Amino acid sequence: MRFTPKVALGPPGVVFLDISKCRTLQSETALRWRLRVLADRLRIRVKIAVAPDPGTALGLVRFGVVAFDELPIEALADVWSPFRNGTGPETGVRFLEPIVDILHRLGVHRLAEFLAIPPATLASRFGRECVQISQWLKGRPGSELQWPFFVPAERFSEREDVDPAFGLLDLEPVLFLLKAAVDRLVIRLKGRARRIQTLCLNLEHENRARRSVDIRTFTLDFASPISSTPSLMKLLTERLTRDLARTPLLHAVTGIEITATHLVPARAAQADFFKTDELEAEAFALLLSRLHQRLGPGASFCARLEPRYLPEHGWKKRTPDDGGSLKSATLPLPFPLRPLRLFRKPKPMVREGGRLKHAAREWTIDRVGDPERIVGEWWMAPPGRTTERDYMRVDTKEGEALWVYRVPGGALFLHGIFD
Amino acid sequence: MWERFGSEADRPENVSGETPAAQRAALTLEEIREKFCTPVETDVFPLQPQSVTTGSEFIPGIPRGALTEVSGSGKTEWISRFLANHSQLWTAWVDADLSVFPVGLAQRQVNLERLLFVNAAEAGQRVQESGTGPGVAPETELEWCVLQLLASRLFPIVILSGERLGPFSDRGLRRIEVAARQARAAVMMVSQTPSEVAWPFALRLKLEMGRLKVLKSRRGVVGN
Repeated sequence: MRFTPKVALGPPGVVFLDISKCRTLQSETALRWRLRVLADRLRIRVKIAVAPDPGTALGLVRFGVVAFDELPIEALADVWSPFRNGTGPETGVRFLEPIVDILHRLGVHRLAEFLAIPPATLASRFGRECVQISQWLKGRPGSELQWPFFVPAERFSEREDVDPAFGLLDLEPVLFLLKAAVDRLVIRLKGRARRIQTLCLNLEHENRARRSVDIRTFTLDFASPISSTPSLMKLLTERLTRDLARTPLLHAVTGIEITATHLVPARAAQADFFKTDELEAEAFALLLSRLHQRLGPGASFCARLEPRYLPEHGWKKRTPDDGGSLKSATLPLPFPLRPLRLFRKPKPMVREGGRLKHAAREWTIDRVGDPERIVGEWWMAPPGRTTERDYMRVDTKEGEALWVYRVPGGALFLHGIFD
Repeated sequence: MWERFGSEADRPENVSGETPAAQRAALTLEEIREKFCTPVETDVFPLQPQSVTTGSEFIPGIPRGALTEVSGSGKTEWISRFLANHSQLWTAWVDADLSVFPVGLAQRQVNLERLLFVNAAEAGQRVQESGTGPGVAPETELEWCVLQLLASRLFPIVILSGERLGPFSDRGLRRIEVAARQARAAVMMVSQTPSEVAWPFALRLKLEMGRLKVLKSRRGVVGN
């Protein structure tokens, strides 16, 4: 932006500057030198090429040549699509790979040689696209090429510096300074209608023994997006209290920086005063995040039913995506009544006359219900194992009702209790 | 002007300099919300008639803002019927073994959309890890979890189930009792056998062969 208002990003590590309109301001040589000085100051190693169009400039830099005529045929992709983003599948230039192979085999090793081939010959060998590329390259439009609009990603980060003479060793003053930074961050995000999904907190310490600045990083990944200062401060306080109790601060904190690393869109509209749904959703999100932070992910969840045959796969954990609103859960299939307690691993049982035994426990059979055969999902079973099970409800004289199944070999397993 | 409203003794002190009308109108946001948005709450969550099979005992319902104990065989079935009758309320189910089966609950008309499960078994593991830290008692994590659920005031019903929940400390039970009272939530502790301590519970129920027995009721007769 300092040298020209027209900037675009190319493949990873490539930046294009359009200097066609700045010729009267600075010469090409002067611009090269200024760019080199800037790169040295930023400690970046750069290669600079100036060309009439971005594709040729990219080819010159990539293949280390100084003129278009020296470009190898592999530069065809760079010249044809200089603004492609290296992170995508690059389907736009993939069709050129077989063409480049064939051209090599035909003895065409440079772009200049490719341009010398008559279009009629190209059409019969490589199709219409190759003719279009050849014609386009011959009349390279240079700055008339449509440049993508470049907007630098906004960084949501706030910082508080502490005078090294008064470095902070206790949590309370750290939290006091942190609140000011969080307040500013939240206000900025409200203005952009964004909520925080992941937050990164850096505490900078001055290590006087090594005469260096160490950074201790805390990353908070929230179960649901957060957008208010009290909620954020509550989570940050808990996290810092817990972590610093285990690993205390050894050196004084000299700087605090918080960065919202993952943001999600928020509703820009004003909250409805007479409806507390939004407040409840925010409170629910905060609670889930706190449980998530303290107990670990997956410890708090809602259940969603799954249309599966095996009972243990009949449901899945689900965390509410948007502050507690859950889609309806309906039973996929009508089936006999299931128990309310299901063991993670079925427990082997032994039947001795009218008694059932598992480990140290024994039950006297009172009544055995009708069997229910479940044979589904054999395609997901490990080789050599069957999923065929005959489930039955066993009422015992002790008052408990067991959910027992029998496998084809005759072995019995206790899978649940009608508790 | 105060003659219209009553005697001089009834007049409030106007310390802020505002007019009395303005003082009476000065409600906090929470008060306004409570006035317009909060439905009228009763002291108990009523039980369905078929659930009250206690013979001579009459239980108006599960008390709000107090602890209730449910024990015996068939306790989870009884709880599921209770939740099905209050399916519009958010419920937190803290389970030590995480053996509760959501499919079975859904079959009994429990609203899974308003049921949050908290795996206290994972909390237990975390307790053991963090138990080496200074000042972290083994049961603190679970208590913290229950207290947070109550403090959020999102869950009118909180269920603690599983044998591995273990006996809470007296101080822990007292803190849960106070938090439940402040949140006006019904905390139901579900266990196979009745606990040895009875003082925190406003209502203690035991299921025996499908029949409900009242062990303690602060509102009614103690004992059966």
